[in-house]
Amino acid sequence: MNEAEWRQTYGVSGSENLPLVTIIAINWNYATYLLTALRSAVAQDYPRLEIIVLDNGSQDDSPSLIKAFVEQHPQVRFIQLMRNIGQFGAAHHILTQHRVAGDFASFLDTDDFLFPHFISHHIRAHLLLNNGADVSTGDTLQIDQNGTIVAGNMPHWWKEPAADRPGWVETRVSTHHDTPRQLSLTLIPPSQRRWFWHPGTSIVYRRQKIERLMQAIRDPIEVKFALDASAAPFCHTEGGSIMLNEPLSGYRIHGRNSSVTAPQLQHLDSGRASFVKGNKRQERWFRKNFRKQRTA
Amino acid sequence: MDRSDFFIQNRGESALAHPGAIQLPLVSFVLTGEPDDDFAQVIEAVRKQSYPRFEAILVDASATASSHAALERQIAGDHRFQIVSVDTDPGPFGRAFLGLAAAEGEFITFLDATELPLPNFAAIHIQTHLASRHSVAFTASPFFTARPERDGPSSPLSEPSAAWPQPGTPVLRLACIDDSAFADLASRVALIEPTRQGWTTSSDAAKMYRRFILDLLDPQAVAATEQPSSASTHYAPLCQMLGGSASIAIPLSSPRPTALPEPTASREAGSRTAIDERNTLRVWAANGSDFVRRIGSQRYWNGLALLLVGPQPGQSEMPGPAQIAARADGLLPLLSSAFGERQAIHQLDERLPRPAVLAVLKEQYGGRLPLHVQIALRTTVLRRMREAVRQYLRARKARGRKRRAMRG
Repeated sequence: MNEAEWRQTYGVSGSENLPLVTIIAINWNYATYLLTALRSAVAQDYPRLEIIVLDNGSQDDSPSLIKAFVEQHPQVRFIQLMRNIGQFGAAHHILTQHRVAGDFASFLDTDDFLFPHFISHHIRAHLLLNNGADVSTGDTLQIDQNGTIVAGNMPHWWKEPAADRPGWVETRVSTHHDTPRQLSLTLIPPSQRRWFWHPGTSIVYRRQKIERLMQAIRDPIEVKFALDASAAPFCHTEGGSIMLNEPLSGYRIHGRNSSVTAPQLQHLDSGRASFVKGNKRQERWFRKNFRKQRTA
Repeated sequence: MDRSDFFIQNRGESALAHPGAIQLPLVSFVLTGEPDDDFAQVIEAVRKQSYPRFEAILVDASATASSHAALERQIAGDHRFQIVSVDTDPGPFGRAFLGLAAAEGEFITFLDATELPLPNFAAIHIQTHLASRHSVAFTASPFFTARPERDGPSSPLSEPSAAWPQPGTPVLRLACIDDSAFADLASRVALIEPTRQGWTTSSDAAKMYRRFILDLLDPQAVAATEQPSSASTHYAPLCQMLGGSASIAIPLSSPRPTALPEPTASREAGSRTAIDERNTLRVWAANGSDFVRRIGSQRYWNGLALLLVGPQPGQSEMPGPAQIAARADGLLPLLSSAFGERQAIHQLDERLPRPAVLAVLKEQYGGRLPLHVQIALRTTVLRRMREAVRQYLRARKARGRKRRAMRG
């Protein structure tokens, strides 16, 4: 699909270049699911894409699978690390040591995958709303190791009918078609402090903002730290977030997730106890980094 | 022509991922019956399901060469059906449990040979599981009868949930459920919170459970010596307390006309007995440390208290201290092993009348309570004060957060 066709299909008028989007796939020993993830990245129907695959020192077949994939898809760049520096560490490495040209960046965990219209729907929302949000998130299917769908969405505290959501705006935005289509979105104000985003793969960040986060980090990044745990709240602080209510990706639960052990239900938490502890530890680390920066 | 089994916003599975990357869940029908029951009609009813991914496990409780041959004839080489044979009938729950062990589906429905699912049974249940705003532990639908729908807490079928998606909402839609059937479903689903008790004991509903939750609730794993009456009496109340449910006010199965007299009731479901109550309590207590992490301390202990003080089967009044103590027989060691004895005593003392707590403790320790138990009881007041201060501070913090959010 070229840019004009994309604008026509998705109802976004204009003649300037569409923003470039970088998909950064970070892999560590996910040879089993890797190709599904990479195929989903190259299958995106968005016309201006940059795709980077980083292997985090995998000890399984991943490196050879990626090399073969890159040979077939020369538009994909491959960065191979010799040891695992964690997901957050890998994101930091790419954004500080390599050229990332995208105006927006999406981080694809290689056990998950994206629907072909994932990037298009996120970028369409950013372009149509033009509200300065630096981060957007979309709902996701929960799938198992065989690709079987085990839940149609993710549970969240804000999905309770009585949940207190101060300042949240359910909005409708029209596409620019001759017969406009109404898109339903939720805008979440920067004052919202509780975690409300869908899992990491379902998030798109504005690159400049996430680069500011990476530049601010001074302390070593622990291998277990998750990118979204710090990046989503950081990118949310000024422009708030855009929430797309449609499932746009698949979140895989396979027994090796750091966060969960089984499908997540609204009233039954399948999260790992270690994940909660790790999150608190990361939060302390994150605050310390920014205290240092302010002091400097 | 798009032959997709499901869609999201009019995009079929082939437009969502490369072939084989995603698929609908497998539904396992576990078909049980009394020895010598005829499975022919239920096999035929399952075979007609419009839902594309299912299997059926037939539990032959009176396995003989001739019964096996008869079932093989009825299955007629359909690879979706398999037979589990057992020489000695293990009873209704044992049969269901055997079938469950052989089942591979992510979703499980237990059916008696007398209960015939309508062709859209699995489709409607899975659609409800996958499109509900809240993913729940199980879904339930009534049997098709001439009786009007029941009112009251045992059957909250008259309260469709406003939170359930309408036809235009971007959710996963099964291809075998058209727009009008989806709209009909949307107006007849009620999401039932885990704290709502009682309705799961209703015996006139067929249920579809999430498999991984059933695996958390194995009564044999906690050395229950007495068998539950049926799969439904054991699993449904526990699943409800753990993950909530969705009630579908559409009759989706019918008992075989000759099987049961009116009023219609499921033979598989039966009604809960005192043994069922004890098994439920033991499973709840033995898995305490796991369940607390999954549902939080408040919900866990409130659930336990409700199980202890709820009306006895067949009675409407709250039980007295002696009855509560009898019901809690053997529970304290399980709770102590999960949480420590002092914590278990404190939590019970918070929620049960003091005479009932004393009766439970005397049942365990005899007439003279050990010193450490007496100390645990006497420090309850201090704990309450500490909890009140904690709650106050938490509320103050929340108010501050809200004020800051409003200013922002």
